[in-house]
Amino acid sequence: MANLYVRSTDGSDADNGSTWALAKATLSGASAIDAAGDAIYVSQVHAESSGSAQTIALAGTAASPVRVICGNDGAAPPTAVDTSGVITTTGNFAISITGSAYISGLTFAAGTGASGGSASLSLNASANHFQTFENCSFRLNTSGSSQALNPTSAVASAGQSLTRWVDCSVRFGHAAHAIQINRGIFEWAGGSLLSGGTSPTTLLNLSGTSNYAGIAKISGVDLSNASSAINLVTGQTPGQVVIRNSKLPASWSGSLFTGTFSPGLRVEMHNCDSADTNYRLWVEDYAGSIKSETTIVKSGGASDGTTPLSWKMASSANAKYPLIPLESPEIVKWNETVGSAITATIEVVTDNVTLTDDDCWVEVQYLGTSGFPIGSFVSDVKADVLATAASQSSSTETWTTTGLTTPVKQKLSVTFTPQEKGFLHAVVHLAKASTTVYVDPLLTIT
Amino acid sequence: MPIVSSTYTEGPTQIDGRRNVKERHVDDAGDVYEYEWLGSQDPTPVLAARADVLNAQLAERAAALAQVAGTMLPLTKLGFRELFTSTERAGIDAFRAGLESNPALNAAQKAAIRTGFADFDVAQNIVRPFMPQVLAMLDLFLSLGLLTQGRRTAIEEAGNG
Repeated sequence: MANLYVRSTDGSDADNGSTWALAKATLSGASAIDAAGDAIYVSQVHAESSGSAQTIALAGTAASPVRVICGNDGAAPPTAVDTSGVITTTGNFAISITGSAYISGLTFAAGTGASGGSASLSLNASANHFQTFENCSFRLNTSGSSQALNPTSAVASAGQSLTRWVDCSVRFGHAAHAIQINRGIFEWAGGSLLSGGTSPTTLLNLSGTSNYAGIAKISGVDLSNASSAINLVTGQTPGQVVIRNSKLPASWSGSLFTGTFSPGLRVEMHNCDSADTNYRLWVEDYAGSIKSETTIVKSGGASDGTTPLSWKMASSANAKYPLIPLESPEIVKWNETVGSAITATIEVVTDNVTLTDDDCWVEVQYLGTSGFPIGSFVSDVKADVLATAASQSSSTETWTTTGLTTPVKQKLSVTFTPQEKGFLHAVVHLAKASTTVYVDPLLTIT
Repeated sequence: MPIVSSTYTEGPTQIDGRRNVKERHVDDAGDVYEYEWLGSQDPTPVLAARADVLNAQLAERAAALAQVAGTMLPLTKLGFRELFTSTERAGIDAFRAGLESNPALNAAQKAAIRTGFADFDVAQNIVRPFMPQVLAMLDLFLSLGLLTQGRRTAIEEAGNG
């Protein structure tokens, strides 16, 4: 496993890259001769700029990835990482990176000065690879509208890929730009949308050209530089997107999801806000939406420790029993009881809708087999699909019902006997179409 | 398809002073566009801004649709031949077979007709609306008596319809 060196200020792609003095001039030049397991060190003064498409075809494999590290060229190999290396294309030229690799401290900027063409940024652009970028920045500098930042492969014939961004930033040059999830898995932990450039209309686009499912998990990202109207996700392909613990633009009036839902597409936003809240929830699903609510709440019910809250589950016209219920996030609680029956209860309230046991029910997963950690399931849905529906039990709990004309209070309840200690996982199902139910997300055990 | 109606409804004020605002925009075709957000700001300017954005996008889409209006798939060569009756096709085929020995045509006319048939042979399909060289061939068949004026018009209309 060799060390290769890249420095634009005095390097040459005709050199062999074996020392700083013989450094390659471009990262693509190094990628032309690298082998699996190699380390490619990019100088902190590196600033390559190419008027041609840059294909950085790294030789790394999942078993033996390549490391591309921006480091201080005062030592060989460097002993200190840096974050100032830059790889730019000028004009309508794309940057594409393939192969399994860990890449640190580099800025990739495509299409500087361009106004159209194909200056996209495509990461993990070949099949079955892992790429992790740490302290990197991705910039679509072109003002052309058709470009995208593809963190996972956009190639229909390619296999799945996993791309992680750790403390990475992005910037776009046109409102139509987006992070396009074509297929595979994309994780973004920490980082930001940079100021400058143009805020995209939508941050994530699942309308990949290959129409395969994509998964995106975004945590701890500062989006406050986006426009207040930015939409977070669009697309029509199946997929799962979770955005959590992230900062939104001030006075955000955008949507969590725009577009047409396909079965299997669900977008969840947990604890993201521009204000100092710690409870905000927003879920968009084919079967409806779920939002946190702090006015219509149960007395003594769920809270974040300070603020009482409930979940407003609003099913769409697509919801139906038994196939397509709107499912709440899991409500999790530790259980210490073994060998004795316990009852788990969730309180709900509607505005003049008496829910039956095929309209709305709770399902609890518990450890019901001694000796093995195998889940058992119990719910208060009607006995089978042919059974006659019956109303769920009424409740006398106290709710603040501001805005509800005729509050109907009910409870969802199941009794079961755990055989091992462990977590209980409760999920509320709402299958009655076009119906709003306020759920107290506090699992009460008696 | 401009937006003709923009309204909103508000949910109860939340504990931090914000409330859920649901925007409803309707265009002149009756299509509905809904957006919901949590905030404390005045919804009126947000509605106006949203309507502006939607109008721009709707206008862009309408312009694109107008640009491609009337687009027709090209005909296959067999599809084009089937615009003619079997008698007409037989007459044209016979004319083509005897082209080189046809005493009614001079060399220049033969060359032009020969080229027209050769172009048909190598063409992948027949673009619609018919290109000028196709219409010229129809006129040639009319002048040679292989088509009547009525049939020539009918073939052009059927092909371009």
